[in-house]
Amino acid sequence: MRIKLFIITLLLSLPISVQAENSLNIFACEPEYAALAKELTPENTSIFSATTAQQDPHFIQARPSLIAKMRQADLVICAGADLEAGWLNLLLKKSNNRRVQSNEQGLFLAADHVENLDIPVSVDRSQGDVHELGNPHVHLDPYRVQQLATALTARLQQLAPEQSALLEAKYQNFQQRWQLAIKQWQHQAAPLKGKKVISYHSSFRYLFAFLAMNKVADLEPKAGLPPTTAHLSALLNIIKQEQVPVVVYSAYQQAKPAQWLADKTAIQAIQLPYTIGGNTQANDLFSLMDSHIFLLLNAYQKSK
Amino acid sequence: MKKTMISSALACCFLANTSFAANDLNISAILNFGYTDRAEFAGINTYGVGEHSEGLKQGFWIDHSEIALSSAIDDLFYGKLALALDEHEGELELELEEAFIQTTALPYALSIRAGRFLSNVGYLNNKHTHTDSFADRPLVYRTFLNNHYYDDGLRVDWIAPTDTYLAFGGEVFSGNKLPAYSNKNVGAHSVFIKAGDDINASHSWQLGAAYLSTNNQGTCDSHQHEEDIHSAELDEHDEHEHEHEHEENFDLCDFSGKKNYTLLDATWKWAPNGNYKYENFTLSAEYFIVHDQGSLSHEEHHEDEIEADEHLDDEESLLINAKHRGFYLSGVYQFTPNWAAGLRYSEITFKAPYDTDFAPSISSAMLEYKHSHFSSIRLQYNQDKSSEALTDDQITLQFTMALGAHGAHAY
Repeated sequence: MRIKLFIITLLLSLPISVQAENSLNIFACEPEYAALAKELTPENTSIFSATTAQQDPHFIQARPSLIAKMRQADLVICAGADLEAGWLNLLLKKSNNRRVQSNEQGLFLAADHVENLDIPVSVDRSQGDVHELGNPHVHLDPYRVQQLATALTARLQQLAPEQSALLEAKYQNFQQRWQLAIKQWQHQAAPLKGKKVISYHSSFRYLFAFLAMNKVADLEPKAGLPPTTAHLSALLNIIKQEQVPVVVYSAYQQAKPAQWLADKTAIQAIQLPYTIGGNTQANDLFSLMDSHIFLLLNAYQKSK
Repeated sequence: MKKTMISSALACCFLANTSFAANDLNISAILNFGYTDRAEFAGINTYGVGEHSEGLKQGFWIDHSEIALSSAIDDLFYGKLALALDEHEGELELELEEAFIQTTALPYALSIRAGRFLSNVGYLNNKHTHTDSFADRPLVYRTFLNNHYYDDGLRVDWIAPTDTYLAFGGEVFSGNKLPAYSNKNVGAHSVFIKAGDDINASHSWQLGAAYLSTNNQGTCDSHQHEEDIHSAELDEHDEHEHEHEHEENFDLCDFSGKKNYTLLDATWKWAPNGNYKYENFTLSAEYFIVHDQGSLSHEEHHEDEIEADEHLDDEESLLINAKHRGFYLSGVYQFTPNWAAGLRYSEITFKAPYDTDFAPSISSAMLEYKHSHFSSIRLQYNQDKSSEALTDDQITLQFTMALGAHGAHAY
């Protein structure tokens, strides 16, 4: 009896993640997709984000801990469009998890469900690390998030049909709140329309599209290549000629190049959260957008 | 002939790139070329080693340029084919390094790989050399695994459903590739376990333990025989000059019996907040115990023997039961998105009948510039003390460029 008890205690103490019946185990490549899953699933769903706002999603190590997490996942949600080209396929293969191999079942790539901007006519690496399938940073456009919520709910219902009604209710609730928020954001962000901006990388492409802002240049000379002194010097002229008031970078991008420009010109360098956890305000998809608009409005106000 | 084969292979790939892009066939070519200034290879202690153990070639080289194709075959299988280019005594050769299928849909996190593939023992062995942080493999890999061990066989592995990564697996191989030369159908087998986790957002680790056993009772590869004669002549020449300054090197094929390898590896990686783009550090170490059990034919090299071209005369055989030990330790620090620097040290302690008083070692330092994700230029210095007779200062300039699909790099 004692031995039995001992064995049971031993087994229980093993770090095997015990899951409640009928609950999904979700692996999200980025915090924004963990946040979207959280909005759309019941509370007992286990959701893991493989990266944080401080990590450049292009440069993630396919670490053993991530393989172990993916091995247990029922659903993997990622940006796709090669954002995770350096690590996602490796994790999928190494996880030996058959549930998440097919993008008709346990693999949900956001880029497959929305229209991507900047799909190159021809892919030529002399243009930098251009994504063949277009810009993958789609989560910063609220309309695309809306489409993603619809597609993701359908996928969740397909994987957990017994929870269909609950998932539908969650979805309706989210869409209602999100549509209201969009109206509010559009109203708030009206003064940002047409404003000139420089960004580190094309990470904010969809945000600028939503806010109808005018991106003049990137700090990267070519997509994926780190800023060079020659390129930054050229930007000094552009900033002066075009009177660009704001340069933005994310929590995972170096502040230095933007600060350098701010020291040399009247441009203001501001860090935007980019994703959940990118600053203390951005705790979910709603507050993420709030924070982006608030920080931008503030910056352009100051520049007057 | 071989050259035409390669150019037509390349042509087919570039054509294919356009027509198959939609089918997700990943086509990649790695151009790996460089220039090395070094002395002639003089052996590693007196241990018998294969053709890939000599390290980088003197002068210009294009070795380990590679063409790889990979794709999901259907919903059950994934496949990969990798051809490596090597030049050997002026002859361009295509080596089939990988040609395998792997299951992607087995239940219980099981996976089976079949065909030709790199053995999953150790930390570096299952990686392609162009993904290494140094231009050449560490001395222990060169000496004991012929740079890397790949062979035809079958692998099964399983991943435990734990939050800490735990993988278990086993492999069986034909044993027809160095360091194995077997006379059996299954001439090599291995078991391995790997574990790893994150300590926090910035730090992560992986540990591995593996046991590999190779049968070495078959015939050695014919290449090797050409090399034998060549090196025997060289040794002869050396002996005249150095007057028994160093002992005769054994030949790889002099050994007959069984080799058991115990391989332990540890890796630790760091990046501030886990953001690898701007700054990161990798420390890795491997420890090898290589148990040679069998017999070693010992040849007395007389001048008339070279003419006879026959090594069987005057051959003595001695029994060997020796555990050699070796390790390497390497640290690589990437300090900007473009620049990385690294240090590595590898050393081996041999048991009799090899020279037990001399532990061969190589110290390396490298500086690397990566213009993009796809191109890197590396300068490497080796202080090579693999032979007692010679301490060689070696300088290498290496270019590694990726064309086409660029596969992810494993941890």
